[in-house]
Amino acid sequence: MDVRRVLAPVALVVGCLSIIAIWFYPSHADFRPANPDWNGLSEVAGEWRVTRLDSLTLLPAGPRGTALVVIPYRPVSQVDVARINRYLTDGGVVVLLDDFGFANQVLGGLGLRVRFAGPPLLDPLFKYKNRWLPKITDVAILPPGSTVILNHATALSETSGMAVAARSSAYAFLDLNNNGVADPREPRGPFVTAAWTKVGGGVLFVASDPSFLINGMIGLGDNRQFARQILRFAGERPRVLLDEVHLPSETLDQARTMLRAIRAAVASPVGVLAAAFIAVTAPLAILLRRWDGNAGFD
Amino acid sequence: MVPHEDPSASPADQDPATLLQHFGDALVLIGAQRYPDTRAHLFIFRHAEVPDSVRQVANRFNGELTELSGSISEADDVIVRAQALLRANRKAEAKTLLQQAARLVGTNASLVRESRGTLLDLANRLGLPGPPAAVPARQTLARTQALLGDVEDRQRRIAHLLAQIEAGKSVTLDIFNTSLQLSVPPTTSPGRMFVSAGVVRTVGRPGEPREVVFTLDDRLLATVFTRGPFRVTLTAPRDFPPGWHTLNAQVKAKGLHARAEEARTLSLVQIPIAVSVNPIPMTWLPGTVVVSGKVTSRLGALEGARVEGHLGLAAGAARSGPDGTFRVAIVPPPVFGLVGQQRLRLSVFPAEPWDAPAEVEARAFVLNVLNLTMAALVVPLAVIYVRRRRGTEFAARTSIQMEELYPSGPGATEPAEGMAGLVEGVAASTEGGLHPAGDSPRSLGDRILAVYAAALHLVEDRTGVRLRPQMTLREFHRAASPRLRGQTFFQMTALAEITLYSSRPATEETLAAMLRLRQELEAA
Repeated sequence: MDVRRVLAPVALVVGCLSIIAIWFYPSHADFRPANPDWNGLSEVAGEWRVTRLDSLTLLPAGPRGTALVVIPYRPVSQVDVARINRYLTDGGVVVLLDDFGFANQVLGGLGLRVRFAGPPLLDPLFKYKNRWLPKITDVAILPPGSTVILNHATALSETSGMAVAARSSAYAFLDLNNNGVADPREPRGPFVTAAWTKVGGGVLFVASDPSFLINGMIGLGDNRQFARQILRFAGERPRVLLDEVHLPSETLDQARTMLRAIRAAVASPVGVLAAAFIAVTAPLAILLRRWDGNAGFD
Repeated sequence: MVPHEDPSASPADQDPATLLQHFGDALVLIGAQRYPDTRAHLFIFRHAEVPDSVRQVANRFNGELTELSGSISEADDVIVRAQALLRANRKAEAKTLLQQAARLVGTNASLVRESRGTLLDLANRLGLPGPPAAVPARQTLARTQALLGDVEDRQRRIAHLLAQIEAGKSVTLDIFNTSLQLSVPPTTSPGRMFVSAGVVRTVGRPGEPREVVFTLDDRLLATVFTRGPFRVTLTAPRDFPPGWHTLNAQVKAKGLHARAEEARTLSLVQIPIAVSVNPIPMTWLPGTVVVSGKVTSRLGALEGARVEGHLGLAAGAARSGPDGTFRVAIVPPPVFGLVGQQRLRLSVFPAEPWDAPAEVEARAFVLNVLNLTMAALVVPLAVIYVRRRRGTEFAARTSIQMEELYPSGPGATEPAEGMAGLVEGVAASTEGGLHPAGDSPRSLGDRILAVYAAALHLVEDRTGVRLRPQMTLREFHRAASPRLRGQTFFQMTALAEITLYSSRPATEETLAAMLRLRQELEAA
């Protein structure tokens, strides 16, 4: 048996199977909308019918009625910051969620003073199970008595000029040395954990923990209601966009992104024309070669 | 940093101190008559994470404080209404309200006592360890007691007013709220001064200067009088140990001006010091080991610090000078064990309580005259003893049978041929050499003795000691050895004796040994 004859079909089958596995195998990366585990966003992604953006060039030109969720766990380029700024000033709502990532780059690029403090915010009394899951009881955008559970959060600083949406208890502290204990020199609460402000024609909502959205957290306390209230800044039924560019990713996610890009390219008019051209010319070329071969025997 | 954890698998942790602090803060609000804030503060307690073992007691305490806050607030309202009636000269109605206020205040006092019991129960169930976790519990208990005193004070005042009204005297009832703002530094050191500032505010008619009492863990620090803002320099007691302490500022109630109180946690820390020790010179004992060095802190040289040095059981002490230097002299006792490299411990106790004590180690090399002298005496004696003992044993092993050699015994008048004769005979027969040419092979024993005879003559020449007829070979060696060096001739004498008296036949090895020894003797 000629190996070369079998190799091509086998490679084709393996390639197809790989593509199928990559496409359908669930992601396990943090904050991924396709991730059904406790650390994914599959639940809110399904509820909000989130549109995933592989590039911020896909931001709509007329952003009114849309909300862009940004969880910058990777550095944000100045170009992307400019795109976010334009989206905001044109009337979009940006929900900037971060704790230990790169959101301060965005805030600095937007010319705002507010910053994510950085050190972990712990609450030894108002908490869910342990102090790294602080319970926020002072939530201005929810009815009194509501609570929001955070998960390894930080605090916001320099929020003057912004409307405070949520504040920790007075017993919370910033664990500067990461030892889990409220040392004498460590700042004590209450700390601002969520705030919003108008930027141009839009609204920027900042929260010092993106983890309240993950599958394992969205059902705790009033987290779901809190998320819905945030999106209401963009209207009653906003279109929710999720910036996947700056999410943490695994190799599988990157491969899936590449496949998506290929599919988009193939689905484009140019791609369709190219595919049609190949579909027509390839069989013709094979047939012509066979006719030439038969003519030689004559 | 960890972005998040799985909440379904998260472990639980508890913080009893913060739980108690929450209740302590509520009592502070009650004491400051901030009743709406107290209600809000206690209301959110339902969201607190409380251990299952104490949840019931904690909730009960929370409820009691809520009830107490409402009851005290109600009593205050009644008193304020009575005040208005008195101003309008409606004494009879004011008296009725004051009687109602007296009942309410009595209820308040009962509630406070009940709350105090619940608090103690809660603290016991939480099983608090020692400080600093115990500090919030202490603060909370102190606040509860202060609140009880406040309520009881109101009872007395209201009773006094009632008595005044009964007596037909004109009275005015003024109830003014008092608030206290207080700021203190978070840390200081024992014995050091620190500044506390704040403001006393009285709602309503400003009264006379108010007395503000400052205590630290119930020890009085200072008392100031102020009509408003104040700034006071306090000194942390010198005998207070480092750690967390409670600074309490209390504005005493005056007339019908309510009291106010604020508490802060003050951390007393000691400044670490640095001790540098100079290299200690080698010391002869008996004598004095002198240790010198310098004591400093980040504030500069430490004067007056007590420096104690310990070398074994010996000790010495000194005080550091103005430049922080010290010189400690230690006189060790005359003990034989103190020789060589010794470990020396220095303990430094600063004069000021805000400096932390320190301990360092140093090494001193000592030479002990007693040891050396004893060694110089004992070692040679020991060597001599050992050598003599070995010689005696050897002589015992190769003892000359006097009867064999001197059949007539020692001291006989006739000179026995004895060893001298035997040796002389052998020497004569070997005149000209050990192996005279042309003779027949001689016995090994004779040849060994011939070598010995030659050596004996050599020794006679060198020492001047002659082998007398009555002398044994051993006796000759003993007589000549003081003038000989080494053990060569002694070994030759021993081999000769073995050859003469041992039952074993002489061997070539013995002959070779004898020849070698003779060469050594000649070369010596």
